[in-house]
Amino acid sequence: MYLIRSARVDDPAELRRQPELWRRVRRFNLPVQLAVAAGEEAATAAEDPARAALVSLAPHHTGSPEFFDVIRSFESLGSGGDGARAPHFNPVVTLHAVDNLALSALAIALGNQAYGLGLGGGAGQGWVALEVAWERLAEERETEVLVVAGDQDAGVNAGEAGLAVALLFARRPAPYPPLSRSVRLVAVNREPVMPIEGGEPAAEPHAAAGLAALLVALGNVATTGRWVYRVPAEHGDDGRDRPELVWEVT
Amino acid sequence: MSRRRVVITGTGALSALGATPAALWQGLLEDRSGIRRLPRLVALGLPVTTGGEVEPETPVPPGAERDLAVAGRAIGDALAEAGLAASGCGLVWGTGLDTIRLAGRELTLRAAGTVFSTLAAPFGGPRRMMAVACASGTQAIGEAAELVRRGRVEACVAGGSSFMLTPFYLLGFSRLGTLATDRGSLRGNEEPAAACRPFDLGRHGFALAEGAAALVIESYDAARRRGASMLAELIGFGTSQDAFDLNRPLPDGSGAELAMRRSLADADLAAGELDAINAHGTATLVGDRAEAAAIRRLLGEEWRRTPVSSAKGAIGHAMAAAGALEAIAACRTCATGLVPPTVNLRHPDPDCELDHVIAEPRDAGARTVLSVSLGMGGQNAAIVVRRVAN
Repeated sequence: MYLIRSARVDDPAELRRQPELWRRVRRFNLPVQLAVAAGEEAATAAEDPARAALVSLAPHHTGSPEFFDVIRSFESLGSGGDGARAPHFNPVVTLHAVDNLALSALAIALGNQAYGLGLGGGAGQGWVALEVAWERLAEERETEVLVVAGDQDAGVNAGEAGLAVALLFARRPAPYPPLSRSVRLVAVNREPVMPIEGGEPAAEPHAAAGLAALLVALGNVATTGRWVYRVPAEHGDDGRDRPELVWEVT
Repeated sequence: MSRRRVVITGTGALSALGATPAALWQGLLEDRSGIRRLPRLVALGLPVTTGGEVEPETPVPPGAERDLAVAGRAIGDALAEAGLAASGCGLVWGTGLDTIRLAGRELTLRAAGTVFSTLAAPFGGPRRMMAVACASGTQAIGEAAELVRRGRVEACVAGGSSFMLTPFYLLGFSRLGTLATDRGSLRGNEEPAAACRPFDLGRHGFALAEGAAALVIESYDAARRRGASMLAELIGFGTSQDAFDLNRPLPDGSGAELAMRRSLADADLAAGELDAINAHGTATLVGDRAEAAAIRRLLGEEWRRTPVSSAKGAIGHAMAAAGALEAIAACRTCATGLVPPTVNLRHPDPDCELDHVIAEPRDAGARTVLSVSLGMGGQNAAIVVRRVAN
């Protein structure tokens, strides 16, 4: 399968500068806002975005500042209270906890009723997304697969800093714009990690960071031929195995 | 090229009806609801005081995390029944949403992904985390079947778990208009067990529930070689997206219908060959009407003769676990021919006209069952299971 377009969105302010986009995404939390923006940008290269398979990763760090405010307001709930004491909040904040919000929003934006898969934000699930894309295209179920991932910083920075990427894969070859060459994913290999002294560095679960690092590395490939990307431990699968992506640049 | 046959060789289930698949099935056949008033919710003064809580037969050890213990128990039970070890299997699992707890004045939030990674640690095969809201359990089963069909792994545990009976989710979903609140019920405060009434004229939303359910999905050849007992064969899987709204289904149910049709196409089956349908049936006003319309169109005139049942009147809506719990019921229907009643359905809404099973189980001799899950946000998934033919 060929990587024919990618997009990276990491500037929340940029979203506000696009009134039409902002009107549609402003009620979402930051990871979803960024994911929808990245997904829509990559989908512009799709032949038929309404028929592409959609694979979306849920943020590992979910929620929003409003969400955390609501949660904290529950601290005032005590025993023997009545329903009137329950905090009032905008129901849309509930959606900030929902795991398939980006997938739903993107499907709506693209008018897409095709195969949709929401993967969770667990460690290493970004590589599962590539495997799923590989499987769907190899079996000729679709001609295009759009992979989207958005996430944000944890804790106090939630809602302020985030990152989303989108990768559009297709059965047809087409130049990948950053390299002006065809970029084909040949295989996703997984090998068990052998125990090492001191143990593997811990994975740092983040829905988008691993795929973003891959895109940076891919963008720096200067030669044609086979190129292997060995997934760093921090973007891996909690030490069970370490994916290795085999690409061919022509 | 013929594809590998896939069967179910083990199950584990903890729901509001009990801590085993047998307890789930027995409660459904007895038209019994496990939904009840929960004193801790009453004490908090919430407008929703009913829910489906899991009570493990063996208490969770002190210090252990309850959600992990219950999900782990479902997975362990399924593997034990199948006679397999996690190290030789894959895991495809939906964990539901983040766990939010208030301990004193401290807020603790545990990411769903962290729960998944903990559950997935012992598994040696592919580990995939599903996140498609209420369709997660069903999609997990379908995706696991595809991994086995492709030969990626001989056996895979699939299912989901959900622990969302917390003030935020109860209030949040009630304000989105999907949850059965005490005030919305005609008899709500008097009869908490009747809070969730799928397809009934008096329905007013679902009862939120906890739960965990796991199924071992295995290649037929591997199961036969081992002499494993096979509960049912999984013959079809399909998904779709409504592409319509974030918390309402397409009013005509056409998105749901698409997933059902895709699962039948995958099974190479005509709709008229279905013997029963395990409906999503959440008891929301719009959702049940849309789903009933989809089923009628799917079946054509056969809808008058194809029994339909929803488990949510009995166990509530266990979100990421729902599809897996209901798949276990569908497998039992295949194995026994019995279609359980839709608990709390007494006066079917004319807009939800179907061949409902009411008050008592029906011996329909059912061998082939469609099980449907329709996720909030418009992600739909359906599987077809069939009695195993040797």
